[in-house]
Amino acid sequence: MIRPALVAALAMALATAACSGGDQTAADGDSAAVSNDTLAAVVKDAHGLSMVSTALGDAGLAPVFDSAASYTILAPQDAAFDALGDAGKGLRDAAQRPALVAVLRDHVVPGYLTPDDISKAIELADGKKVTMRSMGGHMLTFTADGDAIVVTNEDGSRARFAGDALRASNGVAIPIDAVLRQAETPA
Amino acid sequence: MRKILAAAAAIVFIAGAASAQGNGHGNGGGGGNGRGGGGEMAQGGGNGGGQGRGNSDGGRGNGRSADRGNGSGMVSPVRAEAPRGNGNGNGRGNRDMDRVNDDRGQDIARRGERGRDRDDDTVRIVRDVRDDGGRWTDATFRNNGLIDGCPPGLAKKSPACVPPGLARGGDRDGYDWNDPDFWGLRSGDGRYYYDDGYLLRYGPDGRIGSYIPLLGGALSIGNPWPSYYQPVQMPDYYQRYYGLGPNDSYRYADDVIYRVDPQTDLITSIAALLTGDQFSVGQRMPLGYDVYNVPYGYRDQYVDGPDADYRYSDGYVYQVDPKTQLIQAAIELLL
Repeated sequence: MIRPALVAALAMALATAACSGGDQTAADGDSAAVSNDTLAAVVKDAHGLSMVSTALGDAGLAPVFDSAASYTILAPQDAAFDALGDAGKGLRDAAQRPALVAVLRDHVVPGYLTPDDISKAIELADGKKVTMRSMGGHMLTFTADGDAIVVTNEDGSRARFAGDALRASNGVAIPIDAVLRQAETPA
Repeated sequence: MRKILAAAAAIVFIAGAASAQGNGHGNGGGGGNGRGGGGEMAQGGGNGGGQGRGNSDGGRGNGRSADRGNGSGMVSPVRAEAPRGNGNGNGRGNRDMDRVNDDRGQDIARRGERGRDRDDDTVRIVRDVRDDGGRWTDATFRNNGLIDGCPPGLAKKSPACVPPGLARGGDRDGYDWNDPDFWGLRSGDGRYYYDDGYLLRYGPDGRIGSYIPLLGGALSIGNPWPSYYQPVQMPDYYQRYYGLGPNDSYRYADDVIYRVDPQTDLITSIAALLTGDQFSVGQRMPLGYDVYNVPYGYRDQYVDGPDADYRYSDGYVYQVDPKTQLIQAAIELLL
């Protein structure tokens, strides 16, 4: 059995490792300093991300984001779930947790991505768009819209980056303004 | 759709540049066992990403990689013999690894002609233990994860394994839960139906013929692990990286690693989400890694440049040729 405290310590050790001069990390301009806390802790403390935080906790996924492994969460703000209407209400139902987990898996990408990393990649890319695979098995496409970054899931659902990214020791949480799953319009 | 992980035969990876210096981060993962000849080969200017952790393996340095058995977990550091330097300063570059045969005779682990070899790298070969009887890559249920029969709850009902009708599941709340794609699952033949934490598949007789337990549903903490999904043996590196413990204390399904109680087989926690993408040195990088995503503690160490990009997935950083997108090396982030 792993010891969460140990893992957290390892993750924090990673965070405190030298990381001062890389081109990729310099002056991201998208957030403040990197926290010593883990991704799960950062999301839990974040304002307006309670739906995601609660879901991660209830589904037993928080330890995944407390571990030394690195992930980036595109975290829909609470209002994004409200905007889903009945679908959003349904996802709040504990009985529907598997569905919420499936949805959230599409909001997780491997590794440590900052908005600045994404912007740079878009800028350099042919077609000015880049893709990252999600843990939900789908491809997420990132594009620029003025100064904003827009992410689109395979089903056409779109969200904009909203607010500063939260940089944790083992990952990044990027608030977004919509849920990356297209709810079908009731007939 | 997520793809099944095929066995990667052999992986060359670069032990962290920081393995030599240790640099005092003191996370305990490191050099406590730094005996043997490994130490001296990791000299020089590592820059801290490894936090000394690399020492732990480097210190064991004695193995010839190709001789190492799978699953030993002690990745053999291969001394950079530098038979012929190539101007990289340490001669590592042109070291032919020759062929590293695994049971399937796959793959060549070769590096050197590629640039960006850092002077302080230690080169190691890992014979990936995915082939070593583990079958964990085969246990994924993207393709064959359908469990024959019907879930225990339905099996006990009379009549058994009859579709639950309109009681639950279906197109509700704006999402089509009956669509395997909703769950990130590969769409297969047949009709599917969501019910109570499972995705059910109708058999030809109209009864439930097979089913898939879902993360957050049947595969939740406190629930019994479905015995159909046999224990798997993951690479020792994964066991360390994800903190999995002994082989009987974790399970794998649908690109998720779970911890279980070895005595009861009850799920105790969720250890990791994996992409399940397939990586193999010498092959093209999978799609979906357009953005630099190296974990924070390694960003100074692995920086994109004209000769190499670095991308992270499932515990490894992959060195990729920016032009060809061929994977040059797989780098373990040792803990």
